[in-house]
Amino acid sequence: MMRRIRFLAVITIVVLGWSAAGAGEFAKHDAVTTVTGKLVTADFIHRTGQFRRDESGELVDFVMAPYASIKYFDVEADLRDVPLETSFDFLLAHQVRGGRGVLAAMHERRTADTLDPKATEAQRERHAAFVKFRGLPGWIDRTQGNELTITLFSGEPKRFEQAWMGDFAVGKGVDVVVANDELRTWNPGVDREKATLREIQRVPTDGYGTSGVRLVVTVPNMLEGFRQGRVVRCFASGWPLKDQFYGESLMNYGYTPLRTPDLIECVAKDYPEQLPFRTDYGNEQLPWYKLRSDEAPPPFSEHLVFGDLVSVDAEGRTGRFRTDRTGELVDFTLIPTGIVKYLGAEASLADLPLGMRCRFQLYQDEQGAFTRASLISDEFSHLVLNLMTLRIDALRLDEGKVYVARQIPEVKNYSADVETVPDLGQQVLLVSDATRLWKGAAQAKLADLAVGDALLVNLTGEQLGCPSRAADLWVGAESQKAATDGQLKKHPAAKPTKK
Amino acid sequence: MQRSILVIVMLCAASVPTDAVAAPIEREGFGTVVRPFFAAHCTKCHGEQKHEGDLRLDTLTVDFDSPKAMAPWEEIMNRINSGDMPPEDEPRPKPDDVSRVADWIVARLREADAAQHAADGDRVAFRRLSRGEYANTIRDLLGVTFDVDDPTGLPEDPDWQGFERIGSVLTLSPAHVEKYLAAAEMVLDEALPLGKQPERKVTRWTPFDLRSWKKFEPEYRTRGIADKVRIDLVPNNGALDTRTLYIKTTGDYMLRVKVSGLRPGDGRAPRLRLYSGDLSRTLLEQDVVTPEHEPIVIEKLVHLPAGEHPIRIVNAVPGPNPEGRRSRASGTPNAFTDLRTRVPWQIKFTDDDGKPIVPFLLVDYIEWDGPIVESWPRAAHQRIFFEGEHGTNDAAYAREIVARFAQRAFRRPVEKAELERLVQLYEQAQSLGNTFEQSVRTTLVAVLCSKSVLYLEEGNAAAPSATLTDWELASRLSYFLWSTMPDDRLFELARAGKLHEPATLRGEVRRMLADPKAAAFAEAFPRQWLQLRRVGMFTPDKVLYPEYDDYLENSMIAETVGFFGEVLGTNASLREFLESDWTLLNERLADHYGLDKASLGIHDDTFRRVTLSAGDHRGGVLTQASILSLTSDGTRQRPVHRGVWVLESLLNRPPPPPPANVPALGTPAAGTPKTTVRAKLEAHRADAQCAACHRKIDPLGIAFDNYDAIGRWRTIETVRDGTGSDPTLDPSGSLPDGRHFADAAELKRLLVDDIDSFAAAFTEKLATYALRRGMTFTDRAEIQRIAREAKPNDYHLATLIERLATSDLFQRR
Repeated sequence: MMRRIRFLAVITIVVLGWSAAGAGEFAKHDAVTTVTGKLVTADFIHRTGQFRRDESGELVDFVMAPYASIKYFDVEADLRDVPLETSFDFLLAHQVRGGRGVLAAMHERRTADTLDPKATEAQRERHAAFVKFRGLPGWIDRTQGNELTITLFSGEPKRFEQAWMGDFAVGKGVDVVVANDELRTWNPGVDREKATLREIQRVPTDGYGTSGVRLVVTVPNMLEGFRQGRVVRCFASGWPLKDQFYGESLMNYGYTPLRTPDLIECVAKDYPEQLPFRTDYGNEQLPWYKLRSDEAPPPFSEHLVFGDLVSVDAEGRTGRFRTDRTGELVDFTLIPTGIVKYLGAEASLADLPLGMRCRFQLYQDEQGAFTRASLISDEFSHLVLNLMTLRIDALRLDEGKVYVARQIPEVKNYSADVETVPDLGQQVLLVSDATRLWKGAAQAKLADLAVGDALLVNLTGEQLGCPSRAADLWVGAESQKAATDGQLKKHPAAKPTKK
Repeated sequence: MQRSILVIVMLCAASVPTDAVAAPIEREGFGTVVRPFFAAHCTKCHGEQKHEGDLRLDTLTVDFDSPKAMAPWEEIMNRINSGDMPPEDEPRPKPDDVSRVADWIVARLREADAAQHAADGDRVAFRRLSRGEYANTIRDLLGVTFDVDDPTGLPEDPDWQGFERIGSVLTLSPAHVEKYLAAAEMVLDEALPLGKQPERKVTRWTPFDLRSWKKFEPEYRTRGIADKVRIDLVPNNGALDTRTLYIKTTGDYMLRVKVSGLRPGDGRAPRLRLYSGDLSRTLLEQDVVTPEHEPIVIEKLVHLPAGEHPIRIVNAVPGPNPEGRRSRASGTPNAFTDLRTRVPWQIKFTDDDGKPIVPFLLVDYIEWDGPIVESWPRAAHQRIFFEGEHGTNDAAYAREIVARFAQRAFRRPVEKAELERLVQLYEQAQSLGNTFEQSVRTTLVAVLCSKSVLYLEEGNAAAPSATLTDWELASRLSYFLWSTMPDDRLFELARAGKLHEPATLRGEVRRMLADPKAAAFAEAFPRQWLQLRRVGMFTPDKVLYPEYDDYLENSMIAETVGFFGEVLGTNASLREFLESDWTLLNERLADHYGLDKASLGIHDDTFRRVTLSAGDHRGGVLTQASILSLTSDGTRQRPVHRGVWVLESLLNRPPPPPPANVPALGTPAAGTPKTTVRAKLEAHRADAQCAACHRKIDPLGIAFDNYDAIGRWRTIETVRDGTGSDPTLDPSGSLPDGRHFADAAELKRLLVDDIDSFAAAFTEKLATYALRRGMTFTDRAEIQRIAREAKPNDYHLATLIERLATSDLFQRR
């Protein structure tokens, strides 16, 4: 029996039983739900990821709260530092953002006897360098005139003063840089306010993420980002204040706009008032965008749903898909301006293999169900759109696992020098005998995969007990180009996805 | 070819005859003051026996018309004043004797200077129109605007004692000739355009245009909020928001701006300014205070020449605006629609309760609507080509057109020979194949460039007369009270020969003062009399006076000009200029004076008349910020400058110029207590040679020490150098006649007590402005009579003007 999809995030909320909490508040120690699982996907830039619950094998999406911390080897770490499939206690606050559970903290499940002091010290040093480069994050508790009161974040409040406060002294300078909830800054070299530290206060550490330290500073200019609950990063006097890596900055990079759509500042998330309708990121009090027959809908008006294709009627521009995880069947119709993307080119519904996992940008029909599609795209096309490939970091083919890092090509920095962009994320790809591998102009075997290979992938859907797997893997630029060219030949008038 | 002919015509116009006649010499005081001094201290070395330095004082003459004869007097004054003479080994003259001799010489030098600038003995006097008068004349002659201050306009006019319309200094250079020629062509192009009526259209600059958000516009349209997009202007945004305006046709345009402006609780209102960089012209400037969602539409008619004009859109209030904090876009499609949509690194507009913390503007659009023409063909075209579309377009018609136009332009009947020369130009243009209209237009260019347009001509070499003709009187009157050409009624009275009749003349003066065009006099005279041109000449130090800006400077000037207009409009007494219990203030100036705006009923940038109390420390022009500012040097008040200004502008008794070797006021030695400027001046005056003059000057300036360099009231002087606390000010003093005053208010009272002296001085200033020349000895008796006759009427301003305009002096050449 087919049911119509309403809004998938609601289902997630019900499953986790969460309720919204106030912004600018740390999750109390007794107000989190601990879930044990293994990290399988990490997006370093947006501080999001997925873990698979040990108990049920269920895949859970999470977004780290601004104050959220990671403990790895018993010291603070970043998502970048943590190997995939590490076992963690995920401490989920009673909040939801963008359909994801808000993570207050994640603590590695490691017994004291397995701690390696050298590894711990190495991680401590790595994290210290990471923080000094990006600034200590915190949020603003209060503003008064040109004075800001900032509570700093930390996952190790007991060690915080010893680790950091030696660099901060009353009367000395502090560079305060506005940031968003992902702790990303815009252009810190320009945006920084050269503040003066007036007072250091101690506050209770009764919540996850608080360092127990508050800075009271005065700034020459009050900025829009200096508001209660907003996140800032603080640089002690003498810390380097440099341009951030590609993607970590919300502004341009190397005097050119960011070319990866997923990394550009998200208007719907950061400026919800700009959109007079509900989005996947907010504006819950508003109705969803109503389709108009004569024009393509605006960005962010869609509701994004993942699922695997069940059937299509290419001529009628309709079809059916099964939603990821919940298994609902949705009958969809492409709107007149709607398009299909497959293998990096425009396509017909008929080109899409059944069973392939797609991303559906959906709108409500007259009954309020999300059945009208403006875009149906495979993972391959989405990766191409973002210039991304998946680099193999490790292979465990015996377990059917390929460990990959998300990467983009080299870019020019502010000095016009070409530089390698640090990895943007990592994930585990599941493979099986059914996985087809394309290498060069021909099909190959999984055993032909090697560490360092750059992949593009299409997946199967994700259902409980039946996790998403790689359906096709394309190794190297030659096979990827061949795939796109082949698709373009089917539709000579079609355009390749812009890179 | 035609241009060359016109240039020659112009150069001929520039060569005006001068035939000065020496004025009588007033030597009163020479025998009692100067000769005994020379005998006692000078003629021993500079007399009959010895002529050291080739100088004999016993035979020195006074001849106002001879710079050679007057030059030794200036040298003598400087030497005596500075103490160089008599030599050190000779007995010292008493300071009072030095002062009396210096005063006598200064009076003679002034007479000579005035005589040089009077030239009232010329058989024909030519006095060039100031550039403002030229523009007004073009407006009334052709109905079009000539933007005289634009770079394509005319050079700034020089002044003499503040007056910018004195014939002898308004010379004509070759550069002027080119400018006048270009101006004539420009205004005729606009007044008599050839071809079809230009299409009136509206150029609207949307926020998408203004902020390079055009690429975002389609997205905002689909979002459904394109009409909510605005641009947000931070304070002091300078040249950040600039857009080029393309104007195809010169003419009048209606400038419209839809805008909101939010002010912080007790702070400055945001101030919208649109400034054309290439024209160096502010097109629109005003405070805007209206809620975010209740914008207003501001309209202003502006005259714009064809071409490209970079327009700066400025929030002209001081405020934090460092690079990187402005309202530029972040690169993502988040154009401003709401105060909650601002980018985090931009200057913060509101506090966490949503209340403004800086003055900011939100602009919805800017429109340029035009060109606006009142009719087609234009009114000037209809008047000039009076036969309309059925005109014969022959030589006779052309002759009549030129004759009619030239008579109005020359402000008198056109002589036959003049007309013939002009008609020849028409014929020459015709012979070159020009159309009828083009040929006439060429001739009109020549008319506009002729001396009879550019100059006020008075006198006739062939028929000398001591008095003005009625035509000349009409022009003198209209340029005095309206700063423009006579209107039809004045022309009719002149043609009928009735204008000079006392009753008619009085009636015309009253009519003219009541006419809106008299605003030109109310604006120009106080600016020139009080030397307001000097306001801001020494820009106040940005560190010492960070709040000083163009708005404040313009407000200062506007107060003084408006004050004069109010005295004139209400026909109040001249004493108001010295002491009044009212003034005109806008919000900016009220704040500057530290007055309670709310109780005064002032809440925006409109000037309103307010009643003052003694505690406000204001009243009369002397305590207006414009005067106090123009007599300062940008860092501190200058009591000597202030005293000199009072003597020059209010009492018409300028002191001798300072000797060349006067040292600057010294900086106190390290470790010494802070001292006031007054104390330093007193040390300076310890030198007896200095004391003689400074005794007369300094009290008139020190009385205003309670006002700083930009005219703010204070009781403590802020002193940078020295130790200890800043010293308390002492504005008390004594006049040379012994009368004591405690402060500025008491000094003003003393000046009011001596109102007759001020009235005589004012009348002379008024006459200088009206007659466009320096006043000489021969004029003085008449000036004093005019002032005396105004006394029973308590020196009411409009009445005094009427008396001057109907006096013999006014009608005399």
